[in-house]
Amino acid sequence: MEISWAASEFAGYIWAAWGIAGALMLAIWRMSDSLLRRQATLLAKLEAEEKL
Amino acid sequence: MWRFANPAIFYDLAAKASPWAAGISLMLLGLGAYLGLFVAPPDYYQGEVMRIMYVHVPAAWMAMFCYGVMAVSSGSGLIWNHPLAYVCAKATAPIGMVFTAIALTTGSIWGKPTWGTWWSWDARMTSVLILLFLYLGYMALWNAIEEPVRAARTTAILALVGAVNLPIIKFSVDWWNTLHQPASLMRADAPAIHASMLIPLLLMALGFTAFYVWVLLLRMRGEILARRVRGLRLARVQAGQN
Repeated sequence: MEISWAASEFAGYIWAAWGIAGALMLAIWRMSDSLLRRQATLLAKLEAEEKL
Repeated sequence: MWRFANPAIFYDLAAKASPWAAGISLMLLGLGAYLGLFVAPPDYYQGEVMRIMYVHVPAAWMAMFCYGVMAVSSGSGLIWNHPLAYVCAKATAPIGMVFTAIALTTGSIWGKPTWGTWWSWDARMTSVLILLFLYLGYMALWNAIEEPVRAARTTAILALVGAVNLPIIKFSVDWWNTLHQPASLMRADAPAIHASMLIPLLLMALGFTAFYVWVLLLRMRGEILARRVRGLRLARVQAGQN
């Protein structure tokens, strides 16, 4: 795929803006997903201990 | 309607809705990014650097929208004392903070080639920076108060007081002379933007909204489980004391 603006003097600014936006969105998704998994594991462990 | 506000029922519904929100978000963001980066024409005045708009503007909209959700949820929590309202407000804060950070950093990157400066203390930029501090303060307050009910009520008051910043952000470009341009889309007359740029912008905005819903559902489910964990631990401590 050809990027018409790749050689433009502003290409660095465009990549930086899109890259930072993507990285931050990925980070918040990753943190939220980890939070959910951590709590699910913790709850399963506590419930298993309750049954014993 | 209130039946769905039961945390256990909501948890199951959110688990089912999450993959849909994820799919819709990724599809819209992918399409919007393709059109914005490869298909949309450059701006006649700003040239190619205008492509930053497709991430900057939706992020700025979502930064304000998330705060609005946080304030309404907090108000609902205070009025009806419903735990899910507080869960929604608490889960929204970090997502809104990320959107605000994206709006500020991409705005700064856009400002350098167009205005010749990374930052200016003008009304729009300063009020958005205050929004970032409001999000950070809200999250810090949640973490600072150990007792959950008191934390929920105190942070709700902060969220409601901070909502006064939203109209200031929106109308700052009209009320003061700012470096930032006035609204191009949300204005009384027709949008001052051509369809070739408007369509990718709207797709990205919808993609950001779906992304917010997706991450919100993940965080709300995590928070509901965290409350169950807290409840079980508390019951165990009380059982140990008796």
